[in-house]
Amino acid sequence: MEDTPLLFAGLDVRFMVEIFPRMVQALLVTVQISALALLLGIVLGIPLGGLRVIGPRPLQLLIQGLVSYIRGTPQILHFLVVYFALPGVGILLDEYWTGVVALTVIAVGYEVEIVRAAIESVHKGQREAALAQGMTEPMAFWLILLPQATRRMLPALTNELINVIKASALLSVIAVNELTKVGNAIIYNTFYFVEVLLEVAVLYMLVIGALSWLSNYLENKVFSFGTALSTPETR
Amino acid sequence: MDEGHSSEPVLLRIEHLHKRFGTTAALVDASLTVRRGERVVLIGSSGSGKSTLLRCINHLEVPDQGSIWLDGEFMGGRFAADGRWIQASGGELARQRRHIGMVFQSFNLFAHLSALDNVALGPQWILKRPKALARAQARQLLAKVHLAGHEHKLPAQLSGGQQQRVAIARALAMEPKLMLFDEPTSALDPRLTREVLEVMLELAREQTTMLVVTHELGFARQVADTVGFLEEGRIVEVGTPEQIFDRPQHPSTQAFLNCFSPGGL
Ligand SMILES: Nc1ncnc2c1ncn2[C@@H]1O[C@H](COP(=O)(O)OP(=O)(O)O)[C@@H](O)[C@H]1O
Ligand SMILES: [Mg+2]
Repeated sequence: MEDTPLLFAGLDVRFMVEIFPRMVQALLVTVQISALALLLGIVLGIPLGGLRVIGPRPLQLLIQGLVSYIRGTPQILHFLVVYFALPGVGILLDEYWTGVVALTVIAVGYEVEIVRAAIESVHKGQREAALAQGMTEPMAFWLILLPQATRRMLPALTNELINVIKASALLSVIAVNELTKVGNAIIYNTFYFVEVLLEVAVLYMLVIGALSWLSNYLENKVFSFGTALSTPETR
Repeated sequence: MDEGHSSEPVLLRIEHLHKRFGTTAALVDASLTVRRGERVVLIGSSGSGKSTLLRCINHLEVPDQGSIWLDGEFMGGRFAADGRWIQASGGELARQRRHIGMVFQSFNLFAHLSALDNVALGPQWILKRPKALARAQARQLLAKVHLAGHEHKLPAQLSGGQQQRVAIARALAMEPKLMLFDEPTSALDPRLTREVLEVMLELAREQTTMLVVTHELGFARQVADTVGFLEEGRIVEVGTPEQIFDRPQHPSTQAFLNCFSPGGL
């Protein structure tokens, strides 16, 4: 009785329920590793994005070149580079952290651009007022530009988390127990591929759907200073 | 210049300033002197280089040629003992700019900060004053520009006239030696213009050294010790308000002022 398959539309529902806890566990690894990469990406992306806008010209070009390399090459390449290159220079990380580093590289490539666009969207009068008052460029960046840009970055960063989560499926090739890898392993052992793939897809969609909603919400609702940013008010 | 300030030391000396933007000559051989406590008003039609002149003074624009001294100190760099020119570092330039307050046509208040924080931020972060002191002084300055009770409001919640008065308080908070005003009321309707001009009149009465670009000729006549007229990047005529407004010598000045006189249209 226990082993009788419970079929629904040709799918073994009992099996799907049985593997559900493992899948959720794997999903948590996926989300955790992606969020970690996004955070590390922000920590690096903010200063790099800032320097990309206000830094000395050679540094701007260097950062631009780095961004072009990261965005202009397949993501799997970054995993392979990190996987093979880090041990080559004596840095030994386990699969989990190798994955985090590789995903961070991908995230930074996009976040530098997000930061740059947000900084440049702040009205140029803000920077001029800060400099005219006697702030240095770095002070103007941290005290005036970044706080205003942050609010504009949030929707784009939420979107970027979606991209990182999708990219994290590539970690299955280096044996990190994230969602795609765990799904693969179950298929390999049981051959229930339709049930497993369906469950994997639904779990990704739930998380990504929620993040899309959040991104739209942030875009539309929160964080706006009203009209003062762009045009002088004559009221 | 035969006013009461001729005995005061020179605070700002601009000599032979040139600035081009591509093929546009925005400033051509501009020279001007402002003494301590003097109030100088610059007039001229749109595009004549007035903003560029003010922006060169605090090096928001870097002049192509010419020199600017503020209180005896060369702006934007210095000459080494062997005569080589040494460009000011970012930090040195920032230190020099503290002494020059600037009020913009478009206010440019820090959009994410309350009125109080707009005024307190500079003293707190640039002059490294204790936060409580910076805020107490900011409160006083807001009261001085008739904005007591508006401390907590964001720029977007203030009228244009109120924003501009916050901007004046923000500049004053740095205790500058010189205040630059670039068409401070051009974005305002007549009623809001009055509130701002009243504050500027009070500053003038307190012997604040001011260099003001404005189209408010009544204000210019009332407060200016010296009026300068610009045309196509040149300062073509400088004199007392009486000289410039009542007996302009240069044909361009005459033509410009005719547009303002009651029968001018
Ligand atoms: N950043 C700039 N780039 C190119 N041209 C400029 C720039 N700033 C000013 N100009 C030009 O320089 C001239 C003087 O401008 P400006 O100083 O703003 O005049 P005013 O303030 O008297 O209206 C104008 O012809 C203007 O178009
Ligand atoms: Mg102008």
